[in-house]
Amino acid sequence: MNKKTINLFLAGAFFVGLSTPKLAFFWDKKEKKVPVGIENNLQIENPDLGVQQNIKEKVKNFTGKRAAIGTGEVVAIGDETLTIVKDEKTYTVITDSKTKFRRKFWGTSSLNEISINDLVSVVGRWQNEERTQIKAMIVRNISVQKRYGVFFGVVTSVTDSGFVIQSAQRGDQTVSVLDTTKIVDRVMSVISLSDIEVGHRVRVKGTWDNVNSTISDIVQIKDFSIPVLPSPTSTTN
Amino acid sequence: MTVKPKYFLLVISGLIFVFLALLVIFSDLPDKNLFQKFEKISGQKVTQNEEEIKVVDKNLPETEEIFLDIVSPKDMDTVSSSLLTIKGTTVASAEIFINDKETKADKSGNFSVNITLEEGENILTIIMNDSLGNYIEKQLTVTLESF
Repeated sequence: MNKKTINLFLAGAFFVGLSTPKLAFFWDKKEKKVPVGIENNLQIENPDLGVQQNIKEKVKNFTGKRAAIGTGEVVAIGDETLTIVKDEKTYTVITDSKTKFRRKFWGTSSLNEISINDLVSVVGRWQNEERTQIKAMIVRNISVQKRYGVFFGVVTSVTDSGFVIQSAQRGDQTVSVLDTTKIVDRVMSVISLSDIEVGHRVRVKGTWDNVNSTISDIVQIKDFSIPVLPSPTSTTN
Repeated sequence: MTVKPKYFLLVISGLIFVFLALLVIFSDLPDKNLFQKFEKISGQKVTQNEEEIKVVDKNLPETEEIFLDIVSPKDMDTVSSSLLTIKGTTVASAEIFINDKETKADKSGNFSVNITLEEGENILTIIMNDSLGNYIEKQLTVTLESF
């Protein structure tokens, strides 16, 4: 090999390395799992397994085995079934009264909240040897991103029924206050909505809707700006 | 003026290298604009790394620096029992929120919360705030495989 060829090879390797930096850096973290479908076909069709083991595998793979489909798209909704597609394979998801429906952040949901084109993940048990039917234990709707929790922000505008906060990681969020919402200051004394002003730092406990940028069903609001604290720049004589 | 092909290739390689390096650096950065906008409006300082987001008001009197350490579980753990105890340490008497549960750290800053996991991947959002509203938010993923 002459010097020119070696240089050309090194330059090529250099460009491949540059154009796929993540691949190069995280090569060892790549998932090496064989897809479930292929794995099963290998097990069932592999003649080396022998007849006895083949039957054993078929029995093992039949009904009752744990089933999990990660992030498939809903293409049809029945009274108690969902049809979802993942990796060009169609699955029928059978639900019943024991099936738990959850949102992305594990809030309680229902079959009615699922729409066509929603992304769902399913955990349950296979109902047929072909692994196309699942009796669902949990259906999690990744497309409904509502989460109950606490959310911090600074008030940027106030209305009669609520206010808007600017939060560090979620941008503007509209907060709708209920009659039942408890509003307290920093030391837990009860205050009213009219005490909350633009610039106040608040913590809102309720359900955050990522799609509509709202916080609703609010249980508690805590205003950390009341009572007023001395500024670090102010001095006392 | 004629440029030798090998020098021309060297310059092009250098430019491509710089372009790709910038692409890699900036593709993984968090949304700085959102933080800058928030800092401008609120007068608060936002610090974010892979593990947590920390928001501290720069206009308040100096207080103890806030922190939040989760002792267990670890991010990306897989467990077989649906009952999970989350243990950690933070500043004394801080308010702690873990998904829909809440508690208060003791005088040493220790806290412990039991939660029930669902089958599959569970996202745990763990938040602490001090008495002035400074806070830290962390997210852990724990997978339950019970059958």
